[in-house]
Amino acid sequence: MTCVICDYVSGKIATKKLYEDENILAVLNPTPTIFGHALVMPKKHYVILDQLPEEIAKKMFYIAQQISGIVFEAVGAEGTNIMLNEGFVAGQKHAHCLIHVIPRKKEDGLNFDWPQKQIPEESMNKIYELLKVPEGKIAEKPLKEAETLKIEEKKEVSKEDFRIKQLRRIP
Amino acid sequence: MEQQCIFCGIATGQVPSKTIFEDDVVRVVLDIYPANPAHMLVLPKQHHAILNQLSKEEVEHLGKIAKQLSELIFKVLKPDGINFFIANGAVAGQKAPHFILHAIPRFKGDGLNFEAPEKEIDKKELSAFYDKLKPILKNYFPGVDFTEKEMPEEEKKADKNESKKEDKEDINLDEITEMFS
Repeated sequence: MTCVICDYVSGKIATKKLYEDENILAVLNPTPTIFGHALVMPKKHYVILDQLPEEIAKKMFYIAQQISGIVFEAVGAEGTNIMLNEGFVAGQKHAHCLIHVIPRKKEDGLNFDWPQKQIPEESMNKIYELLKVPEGKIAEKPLKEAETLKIEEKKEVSKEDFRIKQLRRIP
Repeated sequence: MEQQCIFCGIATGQVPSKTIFEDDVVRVVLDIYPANPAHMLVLPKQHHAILNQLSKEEVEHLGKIAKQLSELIFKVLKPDGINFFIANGAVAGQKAPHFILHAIPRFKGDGLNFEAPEKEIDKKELSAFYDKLKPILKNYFPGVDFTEKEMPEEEKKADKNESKKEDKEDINLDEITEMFS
């Protein structure tokens, strides 16, 4: 199965490199939304953020921040958008986890604004009850960094994985 | 903490909010004027106006929190997707004076659009831009090799086969890839 992003990583498709280490590559998007549009990607083929080892997710955000700074400096941008789209409906075009760094200028023709919705208090309460995390529980997995990386990289993504199932509903 | 910043008040807990999660670095709250139900705001407790002002530790922490929110949102809400979104500067759509990482659950037909349309660009222009960029890149990422080298065709092929094999052994994502093609 071909993946364009994997081709950027392997060099099969030539790109302009912005950053590279053992696990991460950042390039100028060869088909950019706007001049200076950068992509930060894990070298390994992961579909969504949740599958990434924590250390790689953290580093990708850091690299996106640095590239945002570079873009300000180099393109003379007045702003940037950082986007990570998960799922076809959310605008994910390649089945490979990506962070977009998009330079912004006045009247550049882009617009990612959204209309604000009014959610009834009752529904807000329901959502809150569903999602709230008991104190501290989401965050601290007291594993050493190296161990975390090892364990998570071994983890296989099962076909029955609930997230993948959901994503598959997309036509 | 900035006196006039409402989001500092929310982040530190002085202004009440529906807090999904909190630790020393961030508070994750439900947006009261959401793009979609369960739209969450990840607010650093320290006041920063834009992303570039966050410390390395804070940014890396955002990556970790985003990963965990991705799991939480998919598991609990079963949406069709999620957008993680940062608007950096007013031209980029930033409305608050406080840095925010948005996590927006997406549902088919919800009318939102975060697509980054792909355009072809002039290769020469790109090369010229990249040459200008290189000194800046070297300054930011001193350890990285930015020399551009053409790989010989044979190596290219070998490389491609190897990486393909690796992908297949590690995770079977063929079916997932299919749905995007």
